[in-house]
Formats: sequence, structure tokens, C-alpha cells
Amino acid sequence: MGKLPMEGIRIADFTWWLAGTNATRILANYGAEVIKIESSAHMDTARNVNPALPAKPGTGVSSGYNVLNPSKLAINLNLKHPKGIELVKRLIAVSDIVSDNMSGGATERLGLGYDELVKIKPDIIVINMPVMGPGGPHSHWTGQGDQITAAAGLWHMTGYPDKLGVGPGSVLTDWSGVPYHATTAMLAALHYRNRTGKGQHIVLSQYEAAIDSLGTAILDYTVNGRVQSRTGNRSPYGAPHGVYQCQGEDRWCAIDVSSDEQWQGLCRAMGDPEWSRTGVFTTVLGRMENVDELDSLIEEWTSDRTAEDVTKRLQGHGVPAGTVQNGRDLLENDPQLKARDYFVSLRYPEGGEMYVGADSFTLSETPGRPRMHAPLWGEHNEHVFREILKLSADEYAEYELDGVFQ
Amino acid sequence: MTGADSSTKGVLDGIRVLDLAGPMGVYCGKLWADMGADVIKVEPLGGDPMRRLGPFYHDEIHPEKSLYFFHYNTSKRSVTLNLESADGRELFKKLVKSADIILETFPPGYMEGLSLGYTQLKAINPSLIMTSITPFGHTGPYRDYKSSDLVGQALGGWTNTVGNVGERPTWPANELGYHHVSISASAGTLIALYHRDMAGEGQHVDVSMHEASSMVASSTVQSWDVRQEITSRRQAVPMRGGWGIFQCKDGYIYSVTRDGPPIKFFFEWLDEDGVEHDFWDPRWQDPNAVDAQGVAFRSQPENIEHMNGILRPWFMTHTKEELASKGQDHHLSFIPYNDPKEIVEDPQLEARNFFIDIEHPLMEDTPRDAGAPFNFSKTPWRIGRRPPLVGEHNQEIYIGEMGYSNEQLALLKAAGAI
Repeated sequence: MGKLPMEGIRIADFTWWLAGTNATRILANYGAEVIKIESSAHMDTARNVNPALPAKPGTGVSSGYNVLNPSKLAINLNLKHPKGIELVKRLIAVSDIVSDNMSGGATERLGLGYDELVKIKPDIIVINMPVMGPGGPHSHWTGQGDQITAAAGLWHMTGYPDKLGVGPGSVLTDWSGVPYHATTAMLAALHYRNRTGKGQHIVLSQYEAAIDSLGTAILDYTVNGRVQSRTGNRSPYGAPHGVYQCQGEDRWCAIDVSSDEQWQGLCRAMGDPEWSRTGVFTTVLGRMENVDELDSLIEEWTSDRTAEDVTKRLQGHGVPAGTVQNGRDLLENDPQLKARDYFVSLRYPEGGEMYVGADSFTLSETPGRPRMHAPLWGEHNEHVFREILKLSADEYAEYELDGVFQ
Repeated sequence: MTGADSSTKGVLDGIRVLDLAGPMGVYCGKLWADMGADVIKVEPLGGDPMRRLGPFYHDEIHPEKSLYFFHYNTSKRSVTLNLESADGRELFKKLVKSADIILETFPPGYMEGLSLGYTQLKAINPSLIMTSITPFGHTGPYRDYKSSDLVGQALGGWTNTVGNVGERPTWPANELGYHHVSISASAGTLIALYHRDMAGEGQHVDVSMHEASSMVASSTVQSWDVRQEITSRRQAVPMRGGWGIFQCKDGYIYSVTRDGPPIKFFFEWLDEDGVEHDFWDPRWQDPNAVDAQGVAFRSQPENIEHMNGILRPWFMTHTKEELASKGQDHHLSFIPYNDPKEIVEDPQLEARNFFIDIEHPLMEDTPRDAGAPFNFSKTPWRIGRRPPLVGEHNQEIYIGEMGYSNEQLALLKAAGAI
């Protein structure tokens, strides 16, 4: 592998748990030297407090942690110890970016706010990712990803009209709104620094970044007074648009017909049943008006076929369709992900192995991928303190004894 | 306009983008335009098809009144250009010489078919970055499969995680699949821009919506990898008593009740309100009080039901505001579950000047939209201009910046190139 594009960029990373660590994951995979700063008082909770995803044997820490932290380094530094603060400032002096996702000015209380950090490194880029954002009556609020998506209207928008919203799944802010917006912001700031020599302070309110995925819902309310709401699996633009039961337990196929041509394709794929060629279903207005009946007729056809067979047949007739895949489908049976080498196997020092996804973009000249296991607790203390901060062997031993690396 | 000064230069000032993206990538161009890039929307003759998507301003169906177009095209300029005519292609190639980034969402092979693929354009502009967002990427057996937001999220494993247990998988609505791949594409492209800053080299960025959705579904992959277990919809399964969404006096609140001081405060609050309960039994607060299966006392199904049975009527006696304010002041994380109206009225967003008013000549009532997803201290996020009318900048760009004459422009128009 050639030189990675972000090589030479160092990030002093105070992020923890999900959203924040996911943000620095992306740049780490592309070559940035991301140094996770943890202490026994403030360990990345994801390491072991994730009952849904226990450790994979031989990897040492929780799977959730492993997915979010490949290609990073990890150190322990006791920030309550004066020498700990001194060392972290020395690290920041040779870093490009400082990142954290603590709410309510936690870094300021440690004396590590942006105004302090520019004194140490004038062109530093600092990114804070609090839940609600600085200022305003709720700046001290804390919350986790699911709560933020609920606050941002995404639970209200997902699900069926006659039931409570179900939310967009998979802690969306943690996997989408925060990490990719944050990476965009950090890279834009690096580009600006390349051009002008100046660093700056970035603030990403997790709540506000999530509201930006509401699409037209804000405008529709402010302009038309309409409160948009959930519509199940249906679209206002055509039918069928839904998820249909297939053969087997919990197997489904998504079908989306949004043009006359696609409707014709669907009819041909189903073998031109009588009902599809006559009467109400031949026009989009007819299909929308009789959508309940349409959905059950289509489901009758899908339910004695496998989801993969439905997908293949419909795609063969130019109809957008796809199996509702689960984790096993993705990891073991998806020919597209296989062909594109999407999953990367990472080996752990204790002998274990784990799969993580690369990312959704492939750069033709400087491709980046997860290239190293997520770091074990304090795994890179010696490297960072001796090689980067140039502590002598004696100093290192003395600091260790003194409880600075805890 | 409130909340941002349109005259300031953004963080991406000086970067020119040719934006040919449809709904799958349109948010990516908006992100860059609101950060100060000169994003030129290249619309087909008659305007971008997304101008036909609703909702519309006052429900008037009109290509300049689509709120869909409005939301996703702030701060951009617009030219019309027919890529399928020879003159249109020549014009496009001239534009490419001045561009830093091309953003497109055509099916794989379409641009190559017009001799406008990355290799061909790179010959014109060696440091060009071209970002192609497609359902499955430019390689692989599904490359030519048809997709959509619904289908992309289904195949990517995202949809299977959404919905109530035992019910049909549910579409994560709001075009979240398109939105997510758009921000992912932005991150990938700006890595390429950083590389170009350092090494002078352009490249092709091949973005797959399928992979973007698979990323969101990571935890289901881990469950299979770690435990050979298929996790699907578990949205409504509470982890512990007092944890999850509860109905209150005026809506719903999302309650996260951590052990330690937050849960203790919660029980004191119940006492204060005169609620009868047995929660001072120390097992309710002890994460080590586990059953034979290792499940903590408060997470055992019958105890979850017992606790929630007492809490449900209590939640109904308070408003969201009361719950969130008092709870959050004591580290008890209550956060309101909002609809769009409640978001627009949120005092926190008001105090932070989050919303932004954007005037438009055809809209008497000034639309107010969501503001910055993040902000910069030295180069503030801003709406550089309202969304453009169809081909609004043809004259400005073709004549003013590229040096075509009025006569040539008229000829190109007559020839169906612009």
C-alpha cells in the first residue's frame, strides 16, 4: 500500500462511546494518527459496557468498541494529575486536531478549551460535539444517540401512522449525522488551514446535525403549516412501495415502483397475472387508491418465493427491488460486498479476529481501509510518550510510578 | 436573513464544484455550497427533475416553488446544459477546466458513454476530483441493479433493524439512505481534496449507497460475527425499567435512567410526588444483583414491567418541559420526542439562532429552514444565496466568466445545448 492521504495529521482524541469515536475512525482509516486519550477515571465506555455486543473471544474488548476504533492508537493519561495535564498539552502542541464529544464545557473545565489550546498550538483545529450545543437553556443536557434522533423528529417520522414512531434504527446520529458531518467539518478546516495557515474552532451540536436530516419537514411546517408524519413503508410518489413477506422466517423483499415502465416490468416478472392487466391497477392513481389491495396481491406472489429469487427476477425486469438483508446476509452472502472487498478482517494481539466494514467511498489513487485492530487499553503508551513526546526511559518510569499513566 | 451573514466567505471559498447530482447526492452539494464552495448546479434543459418533487410552497405545483428543490439547493448557482448534445458537451468540458470537483449520480457508464468519464475529464484537468454516487458503486455484480432510497436501505441491512419486534421491517423514511450516502460522499471527497492540496493529484471517488447503508447496520454484522446471532427489530424492547419512550402530559419523552445518582434522584422525585413504590429496595439500584442468567434486577422482564407499570401513570402527570428541565438538572437524562412543529418552537434552537430565513422572489412568506449542521469560528457557515431559478446564472457564467458572446449563447440555445 502506498502512502495514505491523511498521513502526517495527528489527532489528540478525547472522544468516547459512539458518535465521537466514529468521527475519528474515518480519518484514522485514511492514515491520520489518531491518539485516543483515556484514563481509568474516564475510560471509553464502549470498551466493556455494551451488553448487546460482548467481546469476541481473543479480541479483549467489546465488539462495539472494536468496530469504532480500528487504526487508532490508545494511551492512558491521568488528567487529574498535574503532570498528566502537562503531557497532554505537549501532545496537543504537536497535534493538528483536538476532538471531543463531551457536553456542557467539560474540556473547558479541564483547562483544555479552544482559547487555552491556541496558546499551545496557534493553528490548532478543535472540534467539540456536544449533545445540544453551547449556549441556550439546554446546553448542559446529556443524552445518547437514540434520544437525539427522537428529539430531532426522526422517531416521529419513521413507522406507521396509527402507532408510535419507531425511530430510524441503529442509533442513527452515532452512525450517520455526527461522524460524517464531523469528518466533513474537520477536513474543510484542514483545507482552510492549508490555504491560510489558520486553525479554528468547530462546534457540532449533535441535535442540530440530526435535524439536518429531516429533509423538507421544517420548510413544510414553516411555509405550509403542515406537520409531516410517518407513512409506514409507503411513498407519496407511487405504488407499490414497500417491504413484502417472502418464503422463510423473517424474510422480506423491498419493491419500489415509481414509473409506468417499472410497473410493466413488475407485471412481466410476476407472469402477467390477470389482475395486473385489467381494472384499477393499470394506472398510478388506481394503484395509489387501491394500495392495500395491491400490497396484498403482490405479497401473495412474493410469499412463496425466496427474497433472493424475487430480487433477481424483478431486477431482471428493471424493477428496483432488494432483499431486506440481515447481518448474516451482509457478511456471508452478499456478492456485491464481496466483489468490492467491503469487509476487512482485523487480527488482535490475543489471537482473535473480527470483521469490520471499510467505508462507503473508494478513492482511486489513495484508498484507505481499516488497517489495524482497535487499540487495547494503553497499548501505545510507550510509543506515544517515548517516541512522540520524547520522554527518557527514566522519566517514563518515574511518571508511571507516579500514577500519571492511569 | 438571520443566523448567518451571506457576505462572509465560507471555509471552502475558492473551490468550484459542478453539481450534476440527483436526490441521491444533492445534500452533498448543499453541504459544500453552504460552506462557501462555488457550487454550480448543471441542470438539464427545462430544469432539474427534482423541481417536480413536493412539497410545494403553499401547495402550488410550480418548478420554482418546490420546497424539496429549495431545501437541497441553497447557496448554489444554476446553469442549464444539455450533456447529450455535442455543443453541450464542449461547453461542459470548458467548465470542467475551471472545476475542482464534479459531483454526479448517473448510472455507472452513463458519463463514459458521453465521453465524459473520469479518465476523459482528467485529460482536460489533471487535478480534477470526480465523485460518483451510485446505488452499488461502479464495480461488482450489482453495478447495474436498479435501486432507490427504500431498496438501498433494505439491501444494506438497515431496514431490517427498524420497526417493532415481530412486525414487518420498516423503511427508515425521510430519504435517510440518500442523506447518509451524501454526507459519506462529502467526507470521502474532502479526503481527496486534502490529498490534492498536499500532492496536487486528483482522483475518482466511487461512493456506494449499499456500503453506506451497510455501515449504519454495523451492529447486526457484529452480532453475526461474534455470536452467530441474527439481530433484527428490537426498537421497542426496553433494556431496563424506566428506560425508553414514555407518554407524558403533552407528548412523549425518551427516558434514559442510568444507575447511580440519576436513578436515586428519580426515586426521590417519585417520593416528592407522593408515588407509592418499592424502588428503595436496594436491588433496583444494584447492577450486580443479577439472576442465574446474569441479568441485572432492573433488566429482568417482570421487573421492567413492574417498574414501568408504576412509572407510566406518573409520567402522565408531567409535561415534557417539566420532565426534561428538572431531570437534566440532576443528570437524569430525559429528552423530548419531538415532531417538526415542536422542533421549530424549541427554545434551545431559538436561543442558538439555528433556523434561517431565506427570501425568494416568488415566495411572499419567507421560508424558514434548518440551519448549520456544524459551525466554524473563523469561517461561519452561511446561506450564500437563495436556491437558484432554472438557468439563472447562464449569462453570468457563460458570458461573464467564460467569455461567450450573446450571439453564441443565442446559437447554443437554438441548438438545444443550453
